[in-house]
Amino acid sequence: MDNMQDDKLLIAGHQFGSRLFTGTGKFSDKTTMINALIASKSQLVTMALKRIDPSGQTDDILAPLIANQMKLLPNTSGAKTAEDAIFAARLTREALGTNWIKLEIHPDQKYLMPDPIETLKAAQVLCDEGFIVLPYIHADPVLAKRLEQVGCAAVMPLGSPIGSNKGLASRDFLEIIIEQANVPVIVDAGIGAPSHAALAMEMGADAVLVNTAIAVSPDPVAMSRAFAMAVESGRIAYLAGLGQVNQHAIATSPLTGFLD
Amino acid sequence: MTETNEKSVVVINNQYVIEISNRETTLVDVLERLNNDNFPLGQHFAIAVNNSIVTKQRWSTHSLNHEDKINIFGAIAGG
Repeated sequence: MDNMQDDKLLIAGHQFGSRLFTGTGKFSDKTTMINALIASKSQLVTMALKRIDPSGQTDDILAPLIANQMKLLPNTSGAKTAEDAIFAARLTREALGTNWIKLEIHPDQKYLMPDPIETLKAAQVLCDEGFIVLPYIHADPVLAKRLEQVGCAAVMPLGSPIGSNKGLASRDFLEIIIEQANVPVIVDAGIGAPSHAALAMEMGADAVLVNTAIAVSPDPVAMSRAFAMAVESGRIAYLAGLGQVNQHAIATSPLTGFLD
Repeated sequence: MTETNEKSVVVINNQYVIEISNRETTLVDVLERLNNDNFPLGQHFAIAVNNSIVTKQRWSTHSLNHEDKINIFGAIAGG
C-alpha cells in the first residue's frame, strides 16, 4: 500500500515504525537474543527487574538494547498484588530512567492469569504518578475500557496463557476490545506462530508482543524475520480491508452455462 | 549511626551479611565494596533500604544502620 510509510503506531506520543514488540526472555544467550531482536525490527522490548546477585556474574542485557536504539518496556513480573506492582514500577523508573511500564500482576503461578482487580488498582495509582502504563490483562472488554478511563496508554490483552503458544484462544473478546478501544491494543501472550500474529493484525490489533515463540525456536533469528513479515502482512491486509465472510458460496466466475 | 563496641551489619538481598563500620557508613560506602568485576555497579540499578527506594542522588548521603536490609535490583531478560 502506498500509505504504509505513514502508518506509524503512536503510544503516549512515541512513534513506532514496527508493530512487532518483543520480549527478551528465554533466549539461549545474549548474542542470539540481540540478533533476533534486530531481525524482528522491533523498536520496543520488554524486560524484568530482579534482585541481582552481588557474588555472581551480572549479564548486562541493557547495553546492546540501548546501542540498537530499542525503547525499553520494563515489566512488573513477579508482582502478586497492586502494592507489589507499584513498588516494582517505581524501582524500574529509578533503575532504568523510564516511566514506561508493562503492568502485569499474576498471583497464580500455573496459568499466570492477570489479576484484574489488582491491575486496575495499580494502574490508577501509576497513571496518577505519571507512568505510561501498558497493562497486561485477560481479554476482558469491560476491564480494557476501565483501564483506558484511568489513563492507560494502551491495553495488552492476552491471546492465551503466557508461553503457551496456543494462539488467539480469546479471539472473540479481542475483537470486542479492538472495536471499543480508544487506545492502542497490543495482543500479548500466547502468540505461538507468525500466523497467530498475522491474524491479530488482520483483526485490527495495533501491535503484538511476542517472546516465547521466537526465543524457543531452533532458529530465533529466522523466526523473528517470519514474525516481522507476518505482522506487516496482517497490518496491510487490515488496512486494505478483508472481504466479507459468507455462509454460502458466491461465485467468482459467471454461472451462466457455456451454451446459454 | 550510634557508636557501639558491637559490630554493625547490613543484609544485602536477603542473602549476604556485610559488616560495616560503626562510624557513619553510607550506601555508597557499601556499594564501593561490592563494585568489582563480578558486580559492576553501573547506572541501571535501583536500591531499596528496608523496602524504601533510595534514589541515586541520595546514595552518598543515606546513612546505614545496624541490620538494615539493602536490596539491589537490576534489569534481567523477561517478556
